[in-house]
Amino acid sequence: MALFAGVDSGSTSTKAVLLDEGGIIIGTHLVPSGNNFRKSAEVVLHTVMDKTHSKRDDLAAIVTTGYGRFISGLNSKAMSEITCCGRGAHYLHSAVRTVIDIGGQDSKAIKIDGTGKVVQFSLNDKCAAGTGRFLERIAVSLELDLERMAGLSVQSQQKLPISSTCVVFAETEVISRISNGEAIEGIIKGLHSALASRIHILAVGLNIEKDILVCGGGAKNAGLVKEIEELLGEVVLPSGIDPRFVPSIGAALIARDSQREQVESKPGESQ
Amino acid sequence: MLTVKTKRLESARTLSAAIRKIYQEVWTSRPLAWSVNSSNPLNDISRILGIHVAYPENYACVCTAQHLSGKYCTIAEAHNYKPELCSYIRNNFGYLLAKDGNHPMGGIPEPDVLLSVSNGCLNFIKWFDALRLYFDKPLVLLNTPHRLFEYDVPGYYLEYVIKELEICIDKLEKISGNKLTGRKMREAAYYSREQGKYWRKLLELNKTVPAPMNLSDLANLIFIPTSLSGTAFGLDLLKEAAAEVQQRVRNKVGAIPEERHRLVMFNIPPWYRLDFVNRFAERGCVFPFGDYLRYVWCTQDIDDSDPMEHFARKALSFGHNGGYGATIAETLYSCMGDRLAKDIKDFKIDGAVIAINKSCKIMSTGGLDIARLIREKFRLPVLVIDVDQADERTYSDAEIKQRYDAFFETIGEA
Ligand code: SF4
Repeated sequence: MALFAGVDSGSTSTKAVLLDEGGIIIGTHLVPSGNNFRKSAEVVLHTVMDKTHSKRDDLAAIVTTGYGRFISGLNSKAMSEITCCGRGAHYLHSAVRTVIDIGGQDSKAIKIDGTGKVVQFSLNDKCAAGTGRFLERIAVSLELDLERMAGLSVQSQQKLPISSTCVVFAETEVISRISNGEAIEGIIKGLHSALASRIHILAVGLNIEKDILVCGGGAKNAGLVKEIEELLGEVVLPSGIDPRFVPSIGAALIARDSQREQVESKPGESQ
Repeated sequence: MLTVKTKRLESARTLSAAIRKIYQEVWTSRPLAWSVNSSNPLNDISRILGIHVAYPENYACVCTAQHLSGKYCTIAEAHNYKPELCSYIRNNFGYLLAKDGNHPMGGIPEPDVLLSVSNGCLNFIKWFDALRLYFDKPLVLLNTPHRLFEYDVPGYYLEYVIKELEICIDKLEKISGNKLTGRKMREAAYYSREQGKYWRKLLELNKTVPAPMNLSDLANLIFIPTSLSGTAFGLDLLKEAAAEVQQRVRNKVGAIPEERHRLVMFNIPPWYRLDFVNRFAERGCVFPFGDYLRYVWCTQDIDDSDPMEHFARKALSFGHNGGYGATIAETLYSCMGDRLAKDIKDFKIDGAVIAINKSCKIMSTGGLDIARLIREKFRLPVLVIDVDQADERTYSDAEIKQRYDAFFETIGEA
């Protein structure tokens, strides 16, 4: 049976999704990217194959995406995360017209059509303040993990404003608020709100439509999602799958399409 | 590795040689002025009076194209020129403050006089005032009002600028020791008007499919009407380019091998990466025009029968074609939209690349409004990129490539 893999070499983690011919997800795996994209891509693919007892010979096509897409060393086609994200989101929820992807390195707002094709997109500017890195960095200085931060934020009744323009400034602000004895929950809620406001700017510039799907590592953060909903209205989250896999699902789907196209363009040749 | 390239104009080679010669000649030319080239009539007039003119702004582009902007900006910042300041200025002061003396084309010699005009951004005044203090040399400033909304130059603006010009001429005559003659003024006004005519002609020719020139050609050729304005030499160069482009149109020769998409670029291109056009060329995309090249510089036909009035009007026309300074007002008041609609139709544009350039606030303000206008009104795909015109340190290839690729995939050029 032919299988199709999507490998997303992101700045924080490398994800792999395996699809069968019918487009059913048969396996997923995630490893930290570390500093060797080539190795992490190989490992993640190897592991997902192992986990699903698949044979490498069955792998008909691979599409790589993410920052490390060109150096994965896999015999694959490279596609941008934006295109893959659109496809993946449509696969999970066909009514989606806007995807908000909050990754470690960047945040994106992507407008898609009814087939999952990208119509428009916008990405954060160079500053890390609009990305997942913003929260990661502050989590370190607060000595909290992201999950705990999300929980505190959701509980908080108070939102203390934090500057959204620069990670370093925000960090200084957080430290000064803590030393003033202000409530940590309120500070964290303020941080999530600051990040949500940056994402909101990306989205409104596209004149987005509903349904809105939030994915990437940021979608795992209930505090952030709540703040995004305050600005953009109700959003949907990928159901039954880790939201970080959306681009790799799209990549695997594109791998499957490319295989089909090849077959169609070679009539007479049997598969 | 890029395999497809923009087919460079032969006349661009002549122009490059001419630019090199100009930079060599300034070393033996006195008196020498440093000036801004924003439709600044003081340049045309200085040349008639025998004052040679060099442009630190243009030299900043030269240094940037040779990948020295990182070095110069860092030096300038170490001397407290803040990173928020336009990178042309940081390049210029970095060049001046660098100790090693290894500069592209040998650098530009110290000026005897500084010329500026207030028709552009405030930096033109502050930068040149700082140079005045640095060199301890006189600054001759042509003060002009800004025009944001009026399409006809009000008579009192004109009177004011003519009076200002007279005062500046008086100063320049004293510096040069020469007197301005009516004949020379008429000649300069004629060349200035004719250059405008040929620049418009070049842009007009680029409406043809396939486009005979890419953005990189236009970005090189703009040197002529901006920096050689009012000279017969500049006019000859433009005529030569126009003849070559006309020939390409006749022979249906395009700037890129296989034109499938025609894009418009907004904002100043990143001079250290002008080859970005080749990345687009690989995907069948050509840039027949950019706002910087079409709306910023004076492209109107300005009567030259009264040379003083011609030059005053020219100074008042800078940036008034849109873009520059007028961007946000024009976008919001939809004039930009109307003109853009016509250009999008005439140039057969099917997508846009909008640079947000933190150095040039004037060119960047309103950029996202334009992105929205193009997306919503013209329903065309838009790519927004974050690139500084002349500070290569801020450029991140992985980030830009990610945006380019997504854009190419959107327009079906994966
Ligand atoms: S800020 Fe813009 S207009 Fe002003 S000098 Fe710099 S590039 Fe030119």
